[in-house]
Amino acid sequence: MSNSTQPYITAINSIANELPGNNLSWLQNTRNNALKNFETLGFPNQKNEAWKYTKTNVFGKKQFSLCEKPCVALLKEDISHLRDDQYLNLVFINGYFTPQLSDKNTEEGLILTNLQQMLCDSSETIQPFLSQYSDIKNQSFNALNTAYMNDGSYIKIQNNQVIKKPIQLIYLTTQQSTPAMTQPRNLIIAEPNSQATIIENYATFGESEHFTNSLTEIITQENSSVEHIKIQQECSKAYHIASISTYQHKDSRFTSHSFVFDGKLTRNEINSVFAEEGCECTLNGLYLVSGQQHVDHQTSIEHVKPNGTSKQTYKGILADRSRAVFNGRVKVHKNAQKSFSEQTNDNLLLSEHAEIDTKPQLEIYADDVKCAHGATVGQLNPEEIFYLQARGIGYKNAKELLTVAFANDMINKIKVETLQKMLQQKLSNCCTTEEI
Amino acid sequence: MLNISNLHASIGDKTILKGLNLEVKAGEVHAIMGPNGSGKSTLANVLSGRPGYEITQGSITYKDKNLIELEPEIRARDGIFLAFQYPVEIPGVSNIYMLKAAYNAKRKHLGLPELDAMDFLVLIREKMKLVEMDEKFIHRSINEGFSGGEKKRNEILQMALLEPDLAILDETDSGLDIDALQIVASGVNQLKSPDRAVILITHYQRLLDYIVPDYVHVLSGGQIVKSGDKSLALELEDKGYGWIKEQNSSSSQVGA
Ligand SMILES: Nc1ncnc2c1ncn2[C@@H]1O[C@H](COP(=O)(O)OP(=O)(O)O)[C@@H](O)[C@H]1O
Ligand SMILES: [Mg+2]
Repeated sequence: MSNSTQPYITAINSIANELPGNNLSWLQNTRNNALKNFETLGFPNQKNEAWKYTKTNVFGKKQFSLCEKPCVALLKEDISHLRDDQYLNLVFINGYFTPQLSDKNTEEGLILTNLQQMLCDSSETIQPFLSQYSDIKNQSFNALNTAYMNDGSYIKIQNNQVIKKPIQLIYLTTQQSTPAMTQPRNLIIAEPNSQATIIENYATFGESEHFTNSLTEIITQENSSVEHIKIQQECSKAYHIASISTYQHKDSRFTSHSFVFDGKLTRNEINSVFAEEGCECTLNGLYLVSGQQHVDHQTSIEHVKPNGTSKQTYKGILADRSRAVFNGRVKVHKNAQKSFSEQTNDNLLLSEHAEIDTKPQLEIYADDVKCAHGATVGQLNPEEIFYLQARGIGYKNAKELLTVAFANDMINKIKVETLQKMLQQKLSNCCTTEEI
Repeated sequence: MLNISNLHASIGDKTILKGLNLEVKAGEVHAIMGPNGSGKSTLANVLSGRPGYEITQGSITYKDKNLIELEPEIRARDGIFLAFQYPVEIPGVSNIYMLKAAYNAKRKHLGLPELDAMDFLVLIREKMKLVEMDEKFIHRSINEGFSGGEKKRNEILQMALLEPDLAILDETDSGLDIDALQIVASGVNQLKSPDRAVILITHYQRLLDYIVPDYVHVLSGGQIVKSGDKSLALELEDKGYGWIKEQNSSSSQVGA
């Protein structure tokens, strides 16, 4: 449709023969369909309601090429700020799985491997799941990711298994000479009664322009529980588009925590479908933006079946001329009686030039439901600043303290202790460096 | 220690203090009484450096320095403490965090080494005993969900910890039952020393049964209109402020 997509299509076509599993017809079909959809859809424009506040013309202008494999081999020490020996780490550099930086799976009842491996060796086990849960038809970024689908992670937690160690997927982009992109792809299956914590950590080495377009599909089978933590700490020249699609079976629990600390443009989409009764979905988010950064959260929860609970809590701190968008959609279908849904989005504006567009979007077709939503936009309270000053705490320090306090409860929700500490450090760094 | 001379202060376009004079020497306790809206809190706020007030005339010297040009945090570190009439709630900042930050800010200002977490805990536990406060309070957010009395006791805890040279208590006794009042009083009495001074802003002479003031002043219409010793407080309780107002207006008529 539009010429802005053409370079991306050409790039994908040129490597189509090298993509993993290219001998599998089902996979070829999936990729071809996705590419066709991407071509038809083009990059979304602002006439599209879901993209009203977030411009995508940069992707046409910049023409990000596919990232090269890194030429220098990194050592574990080089990424010690991301890796944690207490986790099971799977490391991807420029989108390519890097075994020498990753951990061997030591947990019983867990399959943890890179997607490429699965596509080459046991494609039949993932065929029923891969690309079944995300919207490839209408979402051009999902389509783009699927058309390329080169590597990422495959995680399966087997029946009744509780995985104690957090699993961390590290997606690191190194310095690029020209604007380049990665397309991480994750498939997570939690079998009945299983439980796991999974971290997706996105970071950059250096300060070069790059584009990450990730897609994660999560299936929570009966009575399983998945805690998902996503950290966006790519550099301030990064364009980051991420989509998570969750499909929930009976009595399953899905909790997502999203942290955005950096990036020029960040868009996080989360969709969850309650395919069966008694599901629970908790979405938490914290975004800190300054300068001219732009962050956009789009959530969508489909209460298709009765007795589902969804809770969304998003908080934002906006400094300078930054901008944030929050759109929380909840749809309670006709049969989804006894649904409970609540949603809040609280924002702290540290500058009069910062801007937030927040909107709940409730579509309720059942009658016996409880739904609540609320949004706030505020500044630091001068009474609180003065109280601290009157006790001897300096003005700047008082403001930092109150800014951290606003956000802290989002971090305290993280039960992995080392991660909680790391996030607290990150938060306090952001609050001291930002012009507040 | 503190010398206020011909102080005029306004908020917005409203002048509240209109030529206030007050001298407080080390070792003294001054009680300031007066009807609602007479400017008592304004005086306390101006002394602690609360933003929003404009000083249009007069001077305040504290320890021989011009107090007016100092930031609130500098005043605090230099020994001024205001126990707020209405302490604010600060969700998300724990009491102990603030107490430690405040304490160490003062130590740093005085050129003393900062206290580490363990030593600080020992110290604050001792101070909590003084105000009969349960340890769980210091781990909660500042004043969040505290009852009125608990908030006031928290102010006294902070005062006991920071050991100010000039403590200003703005109606700390209002709304307290007798047990809590005695805790406040004993906090102040333990602080009292020849090097320190206290300004007690109060509505009720009841507090003065427990903390004996050296001077009692009546603030009315933005000025101190009458000063005396403890007996003035008893007289006020007896006759009400109307008596002072009458006296004052008749004397000003005489002057005019
Ligand atoms: N922020 C404000 N803006 C305007 N007027 C104020 C403000 N704060 C106090 N005042 C007024 O100043 C006067 C003195 O108030 P205050 O010092 O609080 O009195 P007191 O503590 O003696 O009751 C009152 O008339 C009050 O209404
Ligand atoms: Mg008052």
